[in-house]
Amino acid sequence: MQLPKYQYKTNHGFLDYEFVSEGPNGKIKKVIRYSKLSNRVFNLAFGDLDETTGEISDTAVSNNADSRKVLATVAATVYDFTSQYPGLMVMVKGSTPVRTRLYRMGIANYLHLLTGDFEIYGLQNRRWEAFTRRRDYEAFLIRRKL
Amino acid sequence: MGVIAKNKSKATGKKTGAVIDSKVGNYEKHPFFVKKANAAKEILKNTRLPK
Repeated sequence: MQLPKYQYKTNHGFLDYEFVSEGPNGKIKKVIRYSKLSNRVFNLAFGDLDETTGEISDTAVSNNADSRKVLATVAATVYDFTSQYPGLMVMVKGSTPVRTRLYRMGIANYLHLLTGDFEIYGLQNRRWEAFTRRRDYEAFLIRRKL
Repeated sequence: MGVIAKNKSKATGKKTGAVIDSKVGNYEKHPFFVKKANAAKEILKNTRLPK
């Protein structure tokens, strides 16, 4: 799936990723981390790194007019992570309901491409179900098809 | 030199879209990601994973 995305870096562990968003608000360093939740599940989180303070935020609105490119870049790291760690599941949840909905829409828009490579589940009422368009989900679970 | 290789993982030989750079930080213990992971664990605790 070739969408515009940023060049990104990772280290040998393939759990940490960095890239730089560029737009009207200048350069913003984005960092991504896959954190182990259990032997089967890792959590995907990402945010803006303030290189002066070392703080990371996922609630700031960057307004760099590149949200699709940012999401495409994050999605690319899911391919990398699941390629390096086959069999593991990735959990994703937005920092706000609005962002979770943004991720839902992104998944829905490319579902026909994603389902070739991934099993995708949405969480609703404490149950994981196969992702369906136009249903509201609280979080997502992704597993690479082997 | 921080940049080791592009497009190939040294460890597994698998193709990657990333530039592999040993200078990329390890954020495992960063409070932001620790908080996110703990919140995610709470959600998972009350659910049953797909098989």
